[in-house]
Amino acid sequence: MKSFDAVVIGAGMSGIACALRLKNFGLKVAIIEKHRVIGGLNSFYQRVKKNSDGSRGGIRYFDVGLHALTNFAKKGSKNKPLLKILRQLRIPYDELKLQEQNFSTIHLNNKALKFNNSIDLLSSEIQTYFPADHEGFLRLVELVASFKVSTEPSEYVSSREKIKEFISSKELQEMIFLPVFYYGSSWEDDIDFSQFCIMFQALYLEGFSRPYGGIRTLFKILQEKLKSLEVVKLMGVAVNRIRKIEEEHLIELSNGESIKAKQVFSSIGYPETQKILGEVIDQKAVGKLGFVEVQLIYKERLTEKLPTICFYNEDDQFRYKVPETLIDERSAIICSPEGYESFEGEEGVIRITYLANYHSWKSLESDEYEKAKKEIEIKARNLVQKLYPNHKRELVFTDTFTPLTVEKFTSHIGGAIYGATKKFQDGNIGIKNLHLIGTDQGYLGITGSILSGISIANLYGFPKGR
Amino acid sequence: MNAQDVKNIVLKIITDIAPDEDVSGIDDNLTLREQIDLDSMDFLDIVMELRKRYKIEVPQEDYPHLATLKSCMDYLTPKFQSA
Repeated sequence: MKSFDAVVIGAGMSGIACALRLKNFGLKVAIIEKHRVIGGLNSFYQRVKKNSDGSRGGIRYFDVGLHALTNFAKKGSKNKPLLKILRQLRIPYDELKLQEQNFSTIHLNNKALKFNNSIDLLSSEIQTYFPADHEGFLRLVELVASFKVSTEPSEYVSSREKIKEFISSKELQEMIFLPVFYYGSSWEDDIDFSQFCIMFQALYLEGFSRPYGGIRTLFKILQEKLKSLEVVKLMGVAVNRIRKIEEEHLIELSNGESIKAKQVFSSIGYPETQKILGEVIDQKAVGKLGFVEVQLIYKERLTEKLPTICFYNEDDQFRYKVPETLIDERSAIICSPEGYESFEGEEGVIRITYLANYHSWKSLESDEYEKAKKEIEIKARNLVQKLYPNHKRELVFTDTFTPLTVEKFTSHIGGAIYGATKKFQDGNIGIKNLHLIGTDQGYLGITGSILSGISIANLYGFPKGR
Repeated sequence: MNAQDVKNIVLKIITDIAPDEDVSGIDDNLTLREQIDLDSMDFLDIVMELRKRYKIEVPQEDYPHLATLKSCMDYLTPKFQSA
C-alpha cells in the first residue's frame, strides 16, 4: 500500500496551494481529485462551437467561479495578500498577466456608485451622492485600512450594527454591503465585522483584476508547479472513506485501492468531510446559499465601456439570503470579462449571477428544469438591456448553471458554493492530523482559498525543528 | 565558513524567496522586517531553505535569532561550522 506524509483531498485552489507548500517542506505528498480536471469551484468548462451549417467550429471556454481576482496589488507593493501568496507559491508576478478592472458599479434602487482599484473614486462618488456620510465613510476607510487579520477566534460582531457608527444613510449602508456580501459572506444577510474588514480591503481598497486568459492562465501555472515539484496526482478518483488506523489515516478510494497518510488536508467542505469520516452530518452546518449563473455569448466584442462588474439591487433593501423561489431576480451580479484592461476572447461575454434556492431547483422534473433555465436566461437578457440600454449585440450562445450543476461538479452538498455556515479558522474539526482547508476554513474567493491552503499547510505541515 | 559567507547565504535565500525585494542596502543591525517586506510565512521559508540546502535546523524557539542579519550571522555561523 502506498504511504504518504500528507494527502490533500480536492484539487481546487486551496488544495493545490496546500500541496505545493507541503511539497516545498520536503514531504511526500499526494493530491486526490474526484474529477478529471483540477479547479473545484473555480474551474472552467468547454463547449464545441457549432457553425451555422451545423459543422463543428472552434472551442468556447467558460470560466466558472472567477468574476474577478480580488486583492489587486501592483508589483512590488508592500504587505499585500496577493503578493504574499504568489511569493509563497514561487509564482512570478508577471506570469499571471493581471489585467485591472476599468470600473465597477453598485446599483440600488436607481442610485448608482462607481468604484475602481483606487478608493478615491468611491470616496468622491459618496461625497457627491451622500455628502452627509462622507466624513463617516473616510473614518470607516481609515479603520479598515489599519485592520490586521488575526487567526485567533474572535467574538462575532454584526457588521449591520457596526456600520451604523460610520454611515447613517440606510441606502449607502446597503450599497456598501452589496459587493461585500456577494463576494464574501456565507451567512445570510450579515457578516462578521472582522470578515467585513477583510472583504472591504479586498474589494474596495485593493480591487479587482483578472489574469489575461482567465482562470486557465492560473491553472496552467499551478499545473506546471505540481508537475515540476512531483506531487502525486490521483485524478478521477474519489475518497469513499477515511479510517483511523493507529496514528495514521487509511484512505479508501473509489477505484478500490487504499492509501495511507500521516496527515490529511481536506478541502471538500466540513459536512462533506464528516461524510467520508463516517460521521453524522451536522445539517445545521450545510451552507444554504446557492447561485444560478447565466452566460451570454455575443458575436462581437464590446465597443462601449461597460462596468467590469455591476452589483445590482432593484429596490432599496438588499436581501442576501436564500430566495423562496428558484432565484431572487431582484438582485444580481453582472460581470463583463471584457471590462478589464485587456481580454483575450474574440466573442463577447456577459455573466449574470442570481441567488438561488437549491431545493426549488431539486424539486423540478427534467423538462421543467430546462424550461426554468430558459426563462431565467430571458430574465438575464432583459436585465442587461435594462442596465445597458445601448447594448445591442447579436447573441450566439447561452449557458446556465444552477445549484444542481454546482453540486454535481463540485460535490458541495446543496450546491453551496460558499460552503458551510460554520468556519474552522485553525482547520481543526476534532480529528487528529486531519485539517480542513478551503472554503470552510477561511476566506472566500480565489485569493482567500489559496491563502487558506497555504496558511494551514504552514501551520501543520512544516516539520518542527528539533 | 565565516560570518560573511553566512550573511551571503541568508541574502541569497531571501532573494530566492522574494525576488522583487532589493537586498543591496540592508543594514546588518536593523531588523529585516523593517527594511524589506518579509512576514512570518517568509521566515518559515528561510528556515526551510536552510534545512533543505544546508541541513541546518532552526528550532521554532530560535526564530527570533533570525531577526537581523547580525543576529543571523551570530546564531548561524557556529551551526555552519559544526555542520
